Amino acid sequence: MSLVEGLYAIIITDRDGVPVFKVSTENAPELALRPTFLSTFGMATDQASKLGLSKNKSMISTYSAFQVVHLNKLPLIVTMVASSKTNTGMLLALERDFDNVLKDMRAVVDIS
Amino acid sequence: MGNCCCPSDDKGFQEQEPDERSSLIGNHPGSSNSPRLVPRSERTPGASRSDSFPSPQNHASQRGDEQSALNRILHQTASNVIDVAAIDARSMEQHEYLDKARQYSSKLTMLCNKTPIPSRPHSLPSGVGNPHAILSAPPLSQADIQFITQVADRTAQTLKEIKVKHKEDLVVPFGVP
Repeated sequence: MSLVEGLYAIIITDRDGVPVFKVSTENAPELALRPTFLSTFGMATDQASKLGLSKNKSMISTYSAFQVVHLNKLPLIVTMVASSKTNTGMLLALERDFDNVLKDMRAVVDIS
Repeated sequence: MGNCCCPSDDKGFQEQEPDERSSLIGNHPGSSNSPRLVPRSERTPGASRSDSFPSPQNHASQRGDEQSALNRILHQTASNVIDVAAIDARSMEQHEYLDKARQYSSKLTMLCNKTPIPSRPHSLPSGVGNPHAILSAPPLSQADIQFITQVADRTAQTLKEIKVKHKEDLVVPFGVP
C-alpha cells in the first residue's frame, strides 16, 4: 500500500462482498469497507458486460474526497479506496501485481 | 384476387416459396396449405416417408426439439436483457456472512503456509521513496542548470589551486629555562 501515496484500503472479496483479504488505514471510510457496498460492483459489472462493449474489467468511482477503483477478477473482486488526489493510473497499474497473487487466491473461493 | 394487399390464392401454384406469411412453427391450425420450413435434419431421403406419414414419435420429438430451442432462445434473451431495477439485492444473513469469512480466512492461512510470498523486485534504489512524485514535478529551468554548472566548475577550480604556504616552522621551541 505504501507504493501509492494516498491509498487507504485494499479489499479482496467474493462477489457477495465477503472479504477474503483486507488491509486498510485509519483514513479509509468505514462505510466503503462493508459487504453491502462491496457487493454492488459484482452486480454492476454483470450488467455492464451486457452493453455490447465486451466484458467489463474495472470501474472507477470518484467522489469529492475519495475515489474507489474496482477490478473484476471474478470469482474475486478487488476494491481499492484512495484519496481523490491519488494518481488513478498508479492504482490501475497495481492490477498487474494483483494478478500474480490472485492466481493462488482463487482457490480460496472456488467451490470444490 | 388481383389486389396487391391480398396474398395470392392461385391454386394452380402448388409449391409456394416461404415468405413472411409462412408459418415458422409447424402444425399451426392455419398453416395446412402453407409450406412448412423443414429443419435440415429432416431433409433427408430417408425422412420422406416420415414426412408423408408422420409417426407419433417423430411428432413428439419435433415438438421437444422446438420447445428446447424456444427455451434456449428465451434464456439467452433474458441473460442479455439489462434490468437494473430487478437486481436481486439479497442481503446475507449475519451468521452466513461470518461463516464464510471464517472459512475464507482459514483457507487463506493454509494457502499462505503452502506458498511463500514472492518478494517484489526492487528496480529503484531504496533511497527513492516516491519516484512518481519526483518525476512528475516540474523540471528545472535552464538558467538554474547553468548556474549550478558554473558554481561547480568554479569550486573544482578553486580546490585545485589550494596550496600550503610555509610561513613559519611547525615546531616552535618555547623559552623555557
